[in-house]
Amino acid sequence: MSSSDSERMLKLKSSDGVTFDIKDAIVVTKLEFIKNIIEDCCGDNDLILVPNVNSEILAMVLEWCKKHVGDDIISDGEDDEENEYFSRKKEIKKWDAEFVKNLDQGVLYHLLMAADYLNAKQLLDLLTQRVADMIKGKKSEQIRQIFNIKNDFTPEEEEAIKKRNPWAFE
Amino acid sequence: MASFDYLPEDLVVEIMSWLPPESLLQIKFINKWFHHLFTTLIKEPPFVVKHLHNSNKNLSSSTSLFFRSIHGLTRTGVTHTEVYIKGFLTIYQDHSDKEINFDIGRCSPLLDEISDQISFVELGSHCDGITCIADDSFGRFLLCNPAIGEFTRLPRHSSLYYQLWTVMFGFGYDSIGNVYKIVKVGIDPYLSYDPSYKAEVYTLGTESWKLIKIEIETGVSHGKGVYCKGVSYWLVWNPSDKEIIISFDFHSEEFRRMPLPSNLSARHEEENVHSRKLAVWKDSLALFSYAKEEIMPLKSIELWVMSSSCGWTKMLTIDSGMDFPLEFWNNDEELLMVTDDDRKSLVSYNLQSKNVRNLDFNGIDFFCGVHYVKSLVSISHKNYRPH
Repeated sequence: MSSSDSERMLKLKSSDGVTFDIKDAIVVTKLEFIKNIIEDCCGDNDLILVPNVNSEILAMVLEWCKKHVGDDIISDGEDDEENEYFSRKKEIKKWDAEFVKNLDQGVLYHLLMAADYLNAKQLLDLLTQRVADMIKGKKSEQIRQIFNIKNDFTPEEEEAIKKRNPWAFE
Repeated sequence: MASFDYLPEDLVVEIMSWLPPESLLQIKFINKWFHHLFTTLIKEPPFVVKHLHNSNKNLSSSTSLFFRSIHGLTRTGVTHTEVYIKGFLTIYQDHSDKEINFDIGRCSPLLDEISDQISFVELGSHCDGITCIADDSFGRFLLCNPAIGEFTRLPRHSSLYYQLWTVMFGFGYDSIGNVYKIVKVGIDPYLSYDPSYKAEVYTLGTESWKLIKIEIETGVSHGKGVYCKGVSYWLVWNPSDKEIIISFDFHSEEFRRMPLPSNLSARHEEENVHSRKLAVWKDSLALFSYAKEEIMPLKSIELWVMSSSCGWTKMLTIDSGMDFPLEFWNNDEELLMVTDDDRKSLVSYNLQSKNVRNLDFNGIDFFCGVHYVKSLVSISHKNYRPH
């Protein structure tokens, strides 16, 4: 790979026809979907269609990618470098927490599905853990309410399953 | 607008793999679809292994288990008779808030089964969410996964050596053979003229203990062993080596000797072996070294860490005024310590900020601890065996 590849610009087109210009280096390590397309096509065609993701969501994914550029570079040098690495890591973690904190549920799900489609493992982990955090510590009634899930157990059925050994493996 | 119902099943499974066992139980009761999903997943090794992997990564999953005795009242409550109850105390901190939370005794009803029969129970190291408990008086081993409330009894060791006095034991995972094993080393107390050690291994799935070779001189383990990456370690004392670390590899089933750091502070070297303790810190073998009685007003504890490239390195010195380190917790960023006088004062020391937090537990004596991870691994139902 020549050094000019790292400066290469890509165009990503969302499902609603909006085109985003982004540097190859920013997305290629984070979005496996993009990496695969580039490797398979190996051409000069820099326009990549992302039909499953709309512009609002794609913009957020790209914003996340930009923040996370080079976050996997581990320094093995001086103390100073290491301190910088740890403080940057801490800063990114804080940013991530803010990024997911106030997300509307609908947006959260769209982002989840986009991260899944684009094969963005790191972003997917962040989002799935966010949903998991919304569930932790809550009882089933509360979980149903938060996520607007219908209960199809009759009261008798529900009582029966709750009475049984919770970790029954059969 | 997308809702939870829109999410494809594999994403829901992904989310569930990040949930602690108690939350998974709540998921089970949501509706019929979730109930079915839950009962299917907990039986599947890929999900259980993924869940375990996530538990190991997840900050808020790290908790400490303490086997403790508390003074309680007899059931009638009229007479104030002191009762010792052994149980578990789980300390945890949700990463999103700063409070230390704890649950007391969730497992004690299950432990009562053995605790009233025996006087001596030893807590072993933890592996994959499961802790091994030895009931030495009767030669029994118990495997306990507190997260799913499962206690599994194992058959007693081979009848040839039913009289063995256990000097060390451990529970671990052979990652190449994909099987859990328990190792036990003992000596026959009646053969005082021949202190040869006998080692036995019990492989889960087989129904018996197997005698194995032990070609090195071991000794009596001080404190419980620790388990780290497929190997168990114990601190022992014997007349030839004085203090040495013995290790057992669960795959090769071999015992090895490992020296302690060669430049432990001179002052500490004068102390007896009870002032050292093994631990696991950030996935590496670690050693605490602390003097029992110091003239200095501040008592210091040294932490040494072993790496394959550099050997033993002194990682840090803690000047906290506390006597004994108990267990790391909270993603190995904090250390729980007690004072010797009454073993009742418990503090949590933050390794980075050096901040000390007091934890108040009335009437509880901290006996020993195990830093464990909540897993779904079930010994009885063998949901850990890969396809």
